[in-house]
Amino acid sequence: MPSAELTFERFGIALETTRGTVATNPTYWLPLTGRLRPMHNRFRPTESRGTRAANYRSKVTKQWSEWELDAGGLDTYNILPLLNMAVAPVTSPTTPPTAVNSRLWTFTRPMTSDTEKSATIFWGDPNTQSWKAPYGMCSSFTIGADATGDDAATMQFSGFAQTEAKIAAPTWPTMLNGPLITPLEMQLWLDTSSAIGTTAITGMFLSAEFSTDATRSRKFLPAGPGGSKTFSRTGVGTSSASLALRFELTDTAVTTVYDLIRSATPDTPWKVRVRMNGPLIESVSGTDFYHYVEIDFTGTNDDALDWGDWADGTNRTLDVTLISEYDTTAATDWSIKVQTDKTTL
Amino acid sequence: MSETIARYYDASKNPGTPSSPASIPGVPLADLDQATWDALPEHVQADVDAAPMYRKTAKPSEAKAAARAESAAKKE
Repeated sequence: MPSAELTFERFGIALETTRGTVATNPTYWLPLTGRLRPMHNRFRPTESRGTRAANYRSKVTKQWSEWELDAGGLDTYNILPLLNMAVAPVTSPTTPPTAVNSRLWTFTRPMTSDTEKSATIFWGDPNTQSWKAPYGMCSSFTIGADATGDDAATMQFSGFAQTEAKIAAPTWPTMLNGPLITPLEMQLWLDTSSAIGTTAITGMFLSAEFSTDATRSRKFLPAGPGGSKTFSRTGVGTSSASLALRFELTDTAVTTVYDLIRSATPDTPWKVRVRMNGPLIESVSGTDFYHYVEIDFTGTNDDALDWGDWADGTNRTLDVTLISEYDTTAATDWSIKVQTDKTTL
Repeated sequence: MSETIARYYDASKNPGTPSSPASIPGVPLADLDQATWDALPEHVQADVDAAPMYRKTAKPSEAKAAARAESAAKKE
């Protein structure tokens, strides 16, 4: 019998039409490494039987699974279905003015509804065993780009699903070879009184990491004798995101960033736009359209700042982490846009 | 004698973009001869047959062109 080889392992998803309606085959074969973990709660009653053995009986009361994708290359193709799970359902893009092949996918976190897509999760080495788990929901994700390191921009997603089941190897779709993103091509805009995206910050911005947990719950409901031990529905609570920014401590960083923290109005939220640029899609009438993932974020800092260092310890950095706050103009606290040449989901 | 082609690749049916075509890892984006096809695991063969850009028969125009080329080679 063959043994599972990490080399041949596959991770895929299929966005579900309605939550919990299991798909037969994956529709996205994701290039990231990941895994699907069986989970359960086991109850052991506290008993007194006059012996030194603590346990005589136990019972599994709940079952579910958890999935995670390790931090891997951020690309503007494979992120699209994942953002449908993590942020909002978006099945078609808009076309930027004058663009021919470029498309803009806008994911705005819904404030008054729970509409993120669920997905059936597929995992395993097809030569050994494949599994699938319906009603997969994304509970957290991170997008980061660090110009002080050697990596390209990365993304990481994780969540949970209903109890997994063994399946015969499903049919896999083709894999999308999305363009990777270099941190050195990042852009940052930082505003307080002006509209987001007005004031570009250059010459000191080093890295950005966006991270959020969705505060999503699993609802286990009794279903009678022989009923399923997994959850039937999910709930969602309030949540916030964080955006960690790092700047080289230059004199400009002091007047641009430090002075904001110690200004007369330190409670004014910062409006930050981070654009992680990839390769050129096209040039149309003098306008260049690049692949990018862009985060619009409004927030304030819990801690004032931290001092760090980089460049082999030769330079000081100014590190600030923002926690998201609702912006009345945007009608949300954060949103994500993806510009790509992919026209369909 | 030309090798038998087990699956024909049609780039126009590739669901990716021209700059980044979609692929099945381990499978060339080209016609698959019988030896290449036979070397693929069964589950990968199933993935190829489900993919829109591979076909079991040549496009009619390509089949005619191949037949004409073979006929011309025999005459020489």
